[in-house]
Amino acid sequence: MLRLIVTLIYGITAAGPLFLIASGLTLIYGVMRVLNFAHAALFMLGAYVSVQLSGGPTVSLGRFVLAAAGAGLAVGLVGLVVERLVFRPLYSRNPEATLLASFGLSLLIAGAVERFWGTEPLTQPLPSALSSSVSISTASISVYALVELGVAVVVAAALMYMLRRTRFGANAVAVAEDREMAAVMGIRARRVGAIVFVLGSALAGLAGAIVAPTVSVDTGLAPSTLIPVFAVVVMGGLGTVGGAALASLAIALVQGITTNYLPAISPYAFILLLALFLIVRPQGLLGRLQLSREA
Amino acid sequence: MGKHTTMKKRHLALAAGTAATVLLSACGSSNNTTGGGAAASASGTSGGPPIAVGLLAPMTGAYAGVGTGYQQGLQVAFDQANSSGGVLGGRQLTISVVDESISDTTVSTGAMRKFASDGDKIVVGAALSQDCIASAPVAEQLGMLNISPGCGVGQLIGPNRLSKTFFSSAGNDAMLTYGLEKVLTQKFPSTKSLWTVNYDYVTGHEVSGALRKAFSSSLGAGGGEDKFVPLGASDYSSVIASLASKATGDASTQGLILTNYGSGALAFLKQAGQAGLLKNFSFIATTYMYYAAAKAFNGTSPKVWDAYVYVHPDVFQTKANTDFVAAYKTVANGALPNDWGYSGYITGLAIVQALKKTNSLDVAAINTALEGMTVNGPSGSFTVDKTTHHFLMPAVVAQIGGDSSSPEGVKLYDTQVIPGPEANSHPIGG
Repeated sequence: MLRLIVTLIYGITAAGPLFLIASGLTLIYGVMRVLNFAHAALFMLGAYVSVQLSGGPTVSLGRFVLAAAGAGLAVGLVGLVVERLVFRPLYSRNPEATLLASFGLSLLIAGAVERFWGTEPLTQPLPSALSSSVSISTASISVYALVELGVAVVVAAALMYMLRRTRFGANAVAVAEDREMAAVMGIRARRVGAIVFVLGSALAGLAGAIVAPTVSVDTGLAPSTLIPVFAVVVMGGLGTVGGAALASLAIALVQGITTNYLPAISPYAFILLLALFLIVRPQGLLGRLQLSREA
Repeated sequence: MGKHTTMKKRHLALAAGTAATVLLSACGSSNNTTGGGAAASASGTSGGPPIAVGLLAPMTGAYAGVGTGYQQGLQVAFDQANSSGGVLGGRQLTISVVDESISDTTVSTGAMRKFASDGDKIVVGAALSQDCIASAPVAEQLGMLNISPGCGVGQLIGPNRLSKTFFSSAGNDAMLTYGLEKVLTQKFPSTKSLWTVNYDYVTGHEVSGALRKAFSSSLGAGGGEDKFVPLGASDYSSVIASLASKATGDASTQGLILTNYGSGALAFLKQAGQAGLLKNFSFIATTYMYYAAAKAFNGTSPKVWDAYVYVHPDVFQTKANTDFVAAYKTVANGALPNDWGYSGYITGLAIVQALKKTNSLDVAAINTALEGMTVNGPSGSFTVDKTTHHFLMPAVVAQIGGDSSSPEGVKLYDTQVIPGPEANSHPIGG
């Protein structure tokens, strides 16, 4: 019984970082219809910026929070530049052009990171206040894993509130549904798109900063993240924030359960789950129609 | 006009993006030649044009540290040779680099063709097994000698190896696993359960299987489980959940083996440490160059037993090693050598020694000179196996960990060196 409880608790907490990384990607796709392959590279950039801003082998809680905020802000600014220079000129073209541009952008970011921070792996320290663990009978779980989950819940709630309850959210939904009609209705579609892109990029940067203390901060971080995050977005239903949250939870729980109870398939568990979804429910958990209601 | 302007802007944006991408890629990965540094120019004399040795290794991406280490180690060996008069009557040795980072076999075979068209006779690399397997036969067909500091798999050093002009200066799974099992079973005789965390690929299965077999036969340690994650995974929450609920026995009876090398091991150790899990094990061990990960911890790395061919600059207390470390720091902007730098260095030493012995660039003659040659390096003397072409280096099993007062934040806590003939005479799992 302890095994099952620990597995479920770990599964739920593991969904947090997965959703944090995926949230910006699904937001941008939901509104802009841009499948941004560079999202994982922006996530990686956020991790590097947070290490830089933390400034040493130890970090206080206050500085850690500021570094995370700074990473979100910095990557959001990168998103602003990228949207203006790379993606905006391509919106009217076919999706392949955007996809290729985003792939090129991911290479550009990886190259820039190596130029600036070098090729050796870096680590982000945790503030001592977050370094402890909580006991569950004979097992234990990291306090920081609970923090990651908490941040993910706050981000999910904020995004849903923004999309459902604010004027900007209504405008974003209108742009998502029909960009030209939204423009005719007086909505400044370009401006909405730019803000969404900046917000999505900032979320990638924030996710990088939040995940950084648990991983090796190196240029392998982007490719190792890309596939699980795209799996979340596809399983959730392209462009749905709620769907991404549910898919993150499903993937993390399946991963945890198979590792404990079906170890032979655990390395491929999320791929199998993704394949199952693509066969049974290709539109994902909440699908595209849900986006317009949710948003 | 407006449409034309918009189109022009689009083209400009695309062109700028493409140009920037190409520029950065070129900066990071294109082939470039590095000379003999200060030593080369200091020597002043030249008995002919420089001899370029090709280097095919990852210089960008997740494995960039490997290629950089090879290059810097090779540079130290060539600088030493150049400053003492060069080879073949005073010719200087230089390095011509091609980036292997994409790990696409067409890159490695294409690189061999590029080296051959440049007139290079000796190529160091590749670093990754699949690239070596693809490119070693091509190098032979093109009349080049190929030495890899990274590849030691059976297809390349076994009895039916793919290329007769391929040499391996790498540690291999068999010798490293043997070293680790020998030292750990002696030092931790109370071990009853072995828990392993592995990338789901051939080395992960081979090493974990061999160590489990060794612990079971020598200590009767039948407990524990093998956990596998996809290659390159960075989220270990499901594995930690499993270990947290199952590996709950007395710490003195439990050991932990990691074959999720590099960033995988680092990520696992961070996540497991934060969950308070590492105290459940009497030892943590790995078989592949933990030093870079330990360094990244900034003095806070847990203590890890690592088996490879160098592990830490303090392992070999020889003058040759002291000189090597000092010279390496010069070419590496003050950084200390690790296994990659050492591997590049001994490869360079072997090349210099073979060229001096043959006094020619005839590949067949260099090939013969290397077979059975004794190389004197920081770890003492070792031979190059005449039949397998494998460098029979000693295996180093050492415990390293974080210490903020040590250079680069990494301290050597314990070490045992297994002599080359012993380390290399055991098949994996045998």
